[in-house]
Amino acid sequence: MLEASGLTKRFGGLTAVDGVSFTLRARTITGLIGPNGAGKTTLFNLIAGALRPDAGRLTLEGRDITGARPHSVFAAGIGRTFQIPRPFPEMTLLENVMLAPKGQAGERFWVNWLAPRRVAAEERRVREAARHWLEFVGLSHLAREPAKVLSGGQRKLLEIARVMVAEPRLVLLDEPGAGVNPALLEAIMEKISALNAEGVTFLIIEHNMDLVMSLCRPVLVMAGGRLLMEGEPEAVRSDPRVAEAYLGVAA
Amino acid sequence: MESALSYLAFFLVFASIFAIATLGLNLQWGATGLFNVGVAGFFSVGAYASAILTTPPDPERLGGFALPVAVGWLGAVVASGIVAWAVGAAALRLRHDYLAITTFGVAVVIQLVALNAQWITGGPFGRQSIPRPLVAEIGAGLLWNLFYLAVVLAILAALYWAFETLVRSPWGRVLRAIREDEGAAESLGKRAMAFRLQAFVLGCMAMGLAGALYAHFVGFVAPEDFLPILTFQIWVMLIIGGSGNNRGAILGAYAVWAIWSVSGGLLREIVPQAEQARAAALQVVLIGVLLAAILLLRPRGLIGEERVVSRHAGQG
Repeated sequence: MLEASGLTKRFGGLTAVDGVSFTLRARTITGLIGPNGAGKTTLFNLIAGALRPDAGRLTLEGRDITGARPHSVFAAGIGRTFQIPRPFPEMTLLENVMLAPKGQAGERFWVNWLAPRRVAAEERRVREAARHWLEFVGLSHLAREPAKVLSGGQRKLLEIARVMVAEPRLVLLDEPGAGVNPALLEAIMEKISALNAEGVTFLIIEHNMDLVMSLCRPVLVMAGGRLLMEGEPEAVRSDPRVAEAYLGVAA
Repeated sequence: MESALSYLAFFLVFASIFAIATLGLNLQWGATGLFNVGVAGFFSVGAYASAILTTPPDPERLGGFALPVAVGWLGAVVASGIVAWAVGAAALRLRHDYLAITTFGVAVVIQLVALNAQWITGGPFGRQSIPRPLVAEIGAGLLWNLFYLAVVLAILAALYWAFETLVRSPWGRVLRAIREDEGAAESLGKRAMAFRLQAFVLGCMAMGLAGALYAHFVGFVAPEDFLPILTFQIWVMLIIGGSGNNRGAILGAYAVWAIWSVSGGLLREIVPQAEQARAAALQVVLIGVLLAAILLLRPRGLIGEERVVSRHAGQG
């Protein structure tokens, strides 16, 4: 579905992502693990268009999306969440989610003057969709609150609802489990597998090994900007290179 | 009695024209966070554009084209929109503080052009005999002032409706999202640059329209009508009225123009003839003190920003 070949990103003298190639198969949940500073989030930013690669190619279902801007990557069907969630704090949860659906006619300013009924009908649909996804992540009781009242874990759930309402085919989740209490994490994992069962492909950066082991297949391991290995979670867990990358070279 | 009424109409026409420009600034600053310090420039583009289109032919100058006043107003909106688009396409890529410097520079350039490009603007003498709509039918004097007031109020009401609709629409929702976190909004498929440019151009069009309404009320325009003090006045109106709130923007325009006019009148009464030119500076001081007081006591303005929720997200 998504194919990366030779992706490279340098920041000054540091090569944060160094010739990374991989293929994501449709309808999988792929894990992306590696020690801090391995280049995982930079790789996410390259795919999502927040950063432009210095070299390499990205294709989504055969279409070249190398260096595309974030809004066109989103339009192409790739949604992403952030490691530190970025809700719009002063906007209500409902509005946070209503923002995301693609191709809203009311986002062209003149349509609001010339065809208010059309916008109203569209807004009702968008609102119902937003309600559905807030319900899905268990936040509908807070729909009218500004997003700034949410806890860290709830913000991650809001971001998932906000991305899913736009019906992406591939979702990049950056540490959905970090800083989330165990009960909420359980809920997030359930939501991810439910969505995956409906055909959504995921790429997940995660440090929580329980989540990775139970959800992700296959798992990509990065270290020092390079792709160290790719394999089933069990194989990754027992591979000496992975332990070495996390713990440093044993004497 | 009649002179009091006449003065009131006179006052209200100016205040309403400033309210139109303040609504434009509120769309830029209040809704989008664009720091436009070139209000006077866009105001004067509208004033000159309408003057050129509607004045009788003048062999020494561009135009006039003696077109109907309504065409002149439309032309003012289009001209200020085009200038805003050119400025915005370049400057909106810059961060906030740079946009301020750029727009200030543009306003100064426009003023210098007005002063020097005699074949377009008439130079320091300005452009004269700008037609007052329907003055032949109605006759000059109080009745015409009231007629013009009604026209300006109708335009102000229509613009209030238009901008209020936008702020509460999906388009306004995208603007709020961009203002709060541009990166997150882009990650959700919104082209921040395009939305900012639209808000900037629409706001400047309102300023240009205000300039045209001013020109046709006064009957002539000259460069000294559009000094940076005008930009300062419009900003003070917005901040005192309540940035981010369209009703606040309108209220601020009336309140500040009332204080400006009354203080000007008082100074003329109190201060001896010889000192009047110097005393005029006290007006600016007074407005400055007022601005400082509002920022200290009511930083959100007379009617501050409410949490704006797009119309259909607030229902049901």
